[in-house]
Amino acid sequence: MSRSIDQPALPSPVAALLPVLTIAGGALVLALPLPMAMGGLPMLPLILLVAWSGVQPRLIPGWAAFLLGLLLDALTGLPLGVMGASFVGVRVMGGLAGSRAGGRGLLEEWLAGAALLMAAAAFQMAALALAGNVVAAPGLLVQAALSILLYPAGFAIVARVNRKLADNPDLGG
Amino acid sequence: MNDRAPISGRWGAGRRTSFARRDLNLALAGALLTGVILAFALLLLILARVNPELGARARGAVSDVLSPVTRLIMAPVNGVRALADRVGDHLDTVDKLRETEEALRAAERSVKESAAARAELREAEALLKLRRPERRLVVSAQASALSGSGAVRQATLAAGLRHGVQPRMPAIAAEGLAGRVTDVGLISARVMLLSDPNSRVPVQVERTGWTGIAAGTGEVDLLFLFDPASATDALRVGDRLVTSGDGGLFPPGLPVAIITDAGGSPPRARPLVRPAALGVLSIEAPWLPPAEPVATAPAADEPDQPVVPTVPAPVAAPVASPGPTP
Repeated sequence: MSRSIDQPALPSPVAALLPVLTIAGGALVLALPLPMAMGGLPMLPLILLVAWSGVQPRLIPGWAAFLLGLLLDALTGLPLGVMGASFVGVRVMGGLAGSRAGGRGLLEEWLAGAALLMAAAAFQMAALALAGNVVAAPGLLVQAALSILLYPAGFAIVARVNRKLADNPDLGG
Repeated sequence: MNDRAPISGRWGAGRRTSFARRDLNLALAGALLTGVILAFALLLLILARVNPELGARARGAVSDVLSPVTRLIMAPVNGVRALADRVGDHLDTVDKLRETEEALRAAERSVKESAAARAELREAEALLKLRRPERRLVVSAQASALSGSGAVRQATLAAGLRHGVQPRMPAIAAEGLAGRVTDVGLISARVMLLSDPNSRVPVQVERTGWTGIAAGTGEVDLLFLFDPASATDALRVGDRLVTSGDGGLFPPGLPVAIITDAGGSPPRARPLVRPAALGVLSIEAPWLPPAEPVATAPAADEPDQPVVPTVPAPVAAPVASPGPTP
């Protein structure tokens, strides 16, 4: 049976792994020893996860988001499962929002990303409380605010990478 | 022909094609798998609440992988910092020499005044046969603070199990207490800093002797939790908090923080050790190691003693009261 023209092409291994690799790279950036008086860099892996969930949700299945969250837990010293649960929740919500919203302008995309990032902060607080840790709400909210400010830049990078993948036939475009 | 479009027929419109059914089944399977993953994540969180040591090995192993990269990245930063310190020292040499000489003279006066008091204290301790635990240095290593998460405040230490580092050991900087060791790998470890929201250090006010807890908040300052009803004086800005030795983990007398807001409820204090410039940390053994139970032989079984029924004592007959006297 011939393939219909509206069925998407199967991605090459490089294209299939690119979202996961970029998010993992963002997690490694968070583990850098930057001398700051207070913690709370922008949550780069979460920004990339929200962006990729709207652009290419099929390339980040739930189990991949969970494993990426576990990696971030191990890198930042959080109890295992905190970011794992948060990433899965954000991935599900991001996939739903991306599949139903269709094409969006910059402001709409920013608002949608901000809502998902705040939801991720809420997931993180709930998961920390469930794990028996004391929840530092001001630090998490500051980190969420910085992430929201940086979200358009992260989304622009993801969109550009996705266009290059779509244009390059060798990479499954 | 679009294979995905539903086929209408005698049995009603919208009969799903095989592709549509496959997509639906895949979506259901994906939703089920996501639910299972979420349930597993929640289980991990509950296990972490019951057993906080869960995942310590994994975090320690990741720390081992990151430690060489961290040291490589910090090498130029430390080099620039050392160069700046040398230049600053060179420019301020004369002034610093005068200050050092004055401080030395003051210290010599203080030593002479306290020598007699120390001698009396030693005699008193000898009379009481007082045993004072000694501090034991395990290893000294370079530390770098991590700033990636707003939920925790930690640092990585370039020493691990191979160097004798164990969890819960205190980490001490030149300025005072920096924190305690949490996760340990083979060649590196994580240190929970004082400003971590989960950090709790038993402290006392050096001037008055009041005891309390220095609690981290995730921000720069600590909270000093103490019972104000038991205070006989007011807390002042500039009061120093030192470890009290309660709990047996941190040795007493280590500088911890300085009160910056005495009127707050609770008062706030600024840690003396800055996370942005940790430098070299000394890891020491816990001041009072936990008592090791001594094995004793089990008690021998005793045979049951026969129960002898007790006979109640006879009640004495009432004595007649004498009549009134004429």
